[in-house]
Amino acid sequence: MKCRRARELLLEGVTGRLDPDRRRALLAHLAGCARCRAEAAELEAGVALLRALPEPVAPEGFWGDFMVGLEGRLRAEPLPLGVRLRRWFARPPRALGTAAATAALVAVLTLALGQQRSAPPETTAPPGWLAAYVTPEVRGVLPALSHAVELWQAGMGALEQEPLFDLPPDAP
Amino acid sequence: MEEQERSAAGPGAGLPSGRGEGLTAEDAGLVEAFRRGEESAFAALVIKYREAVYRTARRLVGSHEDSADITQEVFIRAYRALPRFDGRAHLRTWLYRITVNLCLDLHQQRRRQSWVDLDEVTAEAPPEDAPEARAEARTLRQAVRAAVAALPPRQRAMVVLRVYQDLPYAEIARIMGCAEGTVKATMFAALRKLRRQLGAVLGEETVATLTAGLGSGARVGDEVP
Repeated sequence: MKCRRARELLLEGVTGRLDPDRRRALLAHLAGCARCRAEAAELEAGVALLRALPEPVAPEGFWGDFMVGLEGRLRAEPLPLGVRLRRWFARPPRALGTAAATAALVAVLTLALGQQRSAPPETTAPPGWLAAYVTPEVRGVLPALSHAVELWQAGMGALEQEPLFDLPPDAP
Repeated sequence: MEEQERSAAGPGAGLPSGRGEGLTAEDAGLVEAFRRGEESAFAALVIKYREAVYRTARRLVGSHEDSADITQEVFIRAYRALPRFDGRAHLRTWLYRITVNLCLDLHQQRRRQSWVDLDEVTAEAPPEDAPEARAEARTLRQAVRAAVAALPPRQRAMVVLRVYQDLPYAEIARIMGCAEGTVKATMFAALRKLRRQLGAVLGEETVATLTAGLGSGARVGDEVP
C-alpha cells in the first residue's frame, strides 16, 4: 500500500470506522512507515480533542417553544397558489368531493344545453323576403331594426300571414 | 440499518427511494403525506431532524439564539421547498445543506465579530468531580473551541459534519458542493492544524497526556463492529 492510499484510509479510520480488511492493510502499512505512523498519531489526537467537547444541548423547554413558534410562522407563510392548489386537490376527501362536484356540474350543463337545443327559437323570425336580411346578428347590432320587425309582424306582417277574410272557393 | 431502510419499499412511491443517496423510505412517506396536505407529516419531519440541525448550527455559530433562529429558518425554507423536492438527495443532506448555508451567511454578515461565542459555549460544560479536573477540562474545552473557531468557516463546517454528525465524506461533499477528494484533503489539513495549534497553546506534553486520557477519539485500530 502506498502512503497516499494509507492516509486516505487513515482519515476514514480516525473519523469513522474501517472494515476489517482495510484496517488490516492500513495497520500493515503503518507498521513499516514511520511517517504515516506519526501522521496517524497526530490525526488521532486531533479527533480525540474535538470529541472531548460536550454535545450542545438546547435549554430545557426550548423545543416546545420552538414548535409553537415554528407553527406560528408557518401559518403566516404565503404558499404559492400552485402549491396550495396542488395540495388542496391532493387530499383524497377533497379530490373525491371535487370529482363529484365537477361531475354534477357537467351533468347540469349538458341537460341545460340539450333542452335549449330542442326548444323552439324564441326570437320572432321576419317573414318572406325580409328574413334573408334580418339575421340574428343584424338584429343584435341594430336594436331599432329588431323593434321595427316586431312591430311589422304585429301589424302588416300579421295581415300577410293571416288574411282578413276567406275568399269563396268559386271565386275567379 | 440505514441501508436497509433506504432499500425498503415505502409508502412514498412517488419519490425515488431505495437508492444509495436518495430518500429513506420513511422520509419519502412523510414527504408524500405532506404533499397530500397532511401538516402532521411535516411536524414529524421537524421532530426527526430538529436536534441534528440545531446541534450543527450550534457547533458552527456558537450562540443558542442564533442556532435557534437558524433551525427555525431551515424548516421554514424546507416547508416552502418541500413540494418541489425531487427526492434525489437524502432529506438529511438537503437540510444540512440549508443549515450550513445559513450559518455561512451569518458568518458573512458578522465577519468582523467573533463567530463563535466562546463564553456562552463554555458555560454549558458539565461539572467535573474534582476542582482541578474541572479546571483542566475547562481549559481544554476552551482551547479546542478556540482552535475550531479559528478554522475557516467552510473547513469548520466539514469538520463538524464529519466528526460530530458522523456523515460520510460523499455526503459532506454534496452538502458543501465540492468533490469528495476536496473534503478529505480539507479534513486532513484541518485536523493537523487543530492538533498543532492545541499543542502550541496547551503544550505538547499536556496534549499528549490529555488525549491519552480522553479515550474518545477513534483509533486506527477501530473496526466495524
